[in-house]
Amino acid sequence: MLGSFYAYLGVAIAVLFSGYGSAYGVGLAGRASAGVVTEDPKKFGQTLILTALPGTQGIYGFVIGMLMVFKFAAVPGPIPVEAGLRFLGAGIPIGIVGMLSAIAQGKVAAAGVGIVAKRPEEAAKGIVYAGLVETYAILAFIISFFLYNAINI
Amino acid sequence: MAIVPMKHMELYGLVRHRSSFLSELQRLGLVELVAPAEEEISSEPGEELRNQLDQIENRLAEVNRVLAICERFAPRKPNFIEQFAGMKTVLTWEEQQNYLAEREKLEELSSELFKSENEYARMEQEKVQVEREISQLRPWIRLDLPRHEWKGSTNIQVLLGSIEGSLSVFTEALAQEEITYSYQELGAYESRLYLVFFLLRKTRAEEILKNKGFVPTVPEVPTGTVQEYLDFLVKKKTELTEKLEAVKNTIKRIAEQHQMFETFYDYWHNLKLQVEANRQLLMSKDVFALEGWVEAEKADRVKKVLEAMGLPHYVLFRAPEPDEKIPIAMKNSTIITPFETLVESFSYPRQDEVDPSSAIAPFFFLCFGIALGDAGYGMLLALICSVLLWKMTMKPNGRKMAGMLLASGLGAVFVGLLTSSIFSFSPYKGIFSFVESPQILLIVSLGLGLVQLYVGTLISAWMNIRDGRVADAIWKQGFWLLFLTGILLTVGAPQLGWEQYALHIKYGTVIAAALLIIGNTRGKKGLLSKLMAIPGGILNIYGSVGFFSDVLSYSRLMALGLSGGVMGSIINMFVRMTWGVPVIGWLFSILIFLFGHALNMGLNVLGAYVHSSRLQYLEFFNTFFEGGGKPFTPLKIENINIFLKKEREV
Repeated sequence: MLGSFYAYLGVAIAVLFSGYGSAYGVGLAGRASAGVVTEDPKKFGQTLILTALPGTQGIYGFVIGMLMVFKFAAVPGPIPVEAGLRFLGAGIPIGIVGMLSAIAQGKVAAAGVGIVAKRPEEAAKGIVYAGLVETYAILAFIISFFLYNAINI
Repeated sequence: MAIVPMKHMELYGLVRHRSSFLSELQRLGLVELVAPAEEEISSEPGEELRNQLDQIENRLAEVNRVLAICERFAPRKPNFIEQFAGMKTVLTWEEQQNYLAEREKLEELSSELFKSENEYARMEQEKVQVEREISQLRPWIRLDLPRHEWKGSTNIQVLLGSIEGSLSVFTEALAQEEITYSYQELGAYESRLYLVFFLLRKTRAEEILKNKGFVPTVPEVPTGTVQEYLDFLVKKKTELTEKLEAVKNTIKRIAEQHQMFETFYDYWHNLKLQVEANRQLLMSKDVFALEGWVEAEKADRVKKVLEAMGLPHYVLFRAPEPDEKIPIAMKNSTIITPFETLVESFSYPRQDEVDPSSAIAPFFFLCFGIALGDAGYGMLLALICSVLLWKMTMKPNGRKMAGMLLASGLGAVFVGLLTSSIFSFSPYKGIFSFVESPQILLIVSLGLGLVQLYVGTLISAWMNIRDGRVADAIWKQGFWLLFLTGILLTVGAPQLGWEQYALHIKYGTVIAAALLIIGNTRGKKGLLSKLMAIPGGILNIYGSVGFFSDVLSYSRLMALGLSGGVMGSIINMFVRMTWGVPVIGWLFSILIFLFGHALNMGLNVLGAYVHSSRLQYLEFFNTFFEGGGKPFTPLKIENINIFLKKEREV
């Protein structure tokens, strides 16, 4: 029983925190974008790209969570406590780093929306800045993935 | 890999012909004018020039206002692609000339448009006024006493007004003073009760009522009953609405001519550029001089065109002086050209650097391919971009961007076919699968990074050799690569089964490190400064940590490829699950397939683009490229709104 609880908790942490962070980040960038579009509706396309960027962390978390679900759903019977704890550990990096980096990325993307408003020809640079923040979510995703990959039940 | 060689150009002609020369140069669009040095400018721009500029600017402002009004009353809706690429009007040369010939029609239409807009604004204000009056009269609608009766009679006073709260407070107060009164309730409106009191004059009634909070108000009605006046106002409002609609239609009708306005906007914009170019001329009483840069290959063409004008002039081309700053233009083969956009959005190369476009192209192709990692997505992206290139009119930058994404999409097709991933389905056995063997994917990503950074270092060495600093290339980049390779082999020897060479490799690495430290002391005079340079050399060795962390940065390719792949297979799993549902299962599964993959593809393309560019900018450029060149900006005809279908033959 306890094993299953830990495993479920691992999935919950991976999906919940990264999802929260992405929602927050996309929300920040989305508000800034909406402000620009009220002035100039033609900038929808460029602002959309910036708004979508902080959304990836939620997807990384979801991918990890889904993979974990597949893995323990394939095993009949209860999950051993040790395996459960491993699932929990694997979920933590992408959960926590995903959340924090998505929020930070949302802030950078919102500032990037300012570039779109004032100097639309330089919008690509705003996208690159926001992309830099993503690095750390990617690193966490890779570690979460390899931790997950090492679990055998 | 080429920065276009430039030639310096000097042109002398007669002052009275200068507009013809400038106009011809602008039409050619091949010459960047250089402002004369500060001390050479003899006089301020003339009165005439300033007037001319003012005039053009006024015209431009007028057309701009016309376009703004058109956009306000008849906004043109951009389609999905135009939201990204901007809206363009495509005309043939004849159409453009026809528009430009109708200057009078433009004046006529603009003045009609301004008149209509004024009228619209005035009537709109009037309508607001009427609406306000209507809403003020609303509470009084049940007052059937006509206006002239409101004065009351000799004995009876008529008191109109409103109260807040309960009426009984007022009636009781009046009753207490034993005042005869009568009243009529007109109804409640916005939490106030409106009523009319009929009171005997010569009592304190009005005072008492006011003390209790009665607010006397007289509605603004010129004559007749409230209802009659209200009817009049409502009728007026309807009329105004109709008139407004009519004026709006007039404006919309004029706005249909937006192509003409846009044509004139572009015309005056370019005329302004041309007139402004006058500031870059040196002028004496009769002769003007002009300095500029032209691509070396195009110099002959410029010369011929100038000769064909048949005006007296003297033109001189020369190669740039060694320390002269030349403007930078890049020229590459058709396949590489689209990748210039990546360099342009980072920074133009300096004249002593190389154009990194062709070095970027194959690596961006592969990076993007791995990061997207699916033949289906790649094909779709390539198709979309080809359609864009084929059907849409775009500025050169847009074309480059679309071309770059087209090539990169093919990169994903390449990787996707190798690993057998088409919309995350795996119809045959590929060389390895992203999802099943992520370790291989990681090794491939890091390997690609290693190769790219080696290539970067080699380019840096090549630049040294090109500039005649062969020793630098060997001491700096040569031993650096040797040292890095040594470290790699030291770590990798057991895996490669080279244990018997382990000792040799270790010595080799140490020697390379020592040579690097010695290399850092080169060029230093005296023993002391040579010794002082040793810590710097050791720091260089430490730089290898930076190098390997740059290589590790390429692991992002694995993460992107993997998360896209897993996400895709999750979507496919849902598709398979819903397919089994009877009757409508197929419909849902098709919807899930389309929607899910569209979303996944969008996010993955975005991620692949952002991270592949980042790897070029931060990791790859770090090894050999700084940028900071000034882009070549010839005097030319700029297309703001209007694009010509066929350029006129020169």
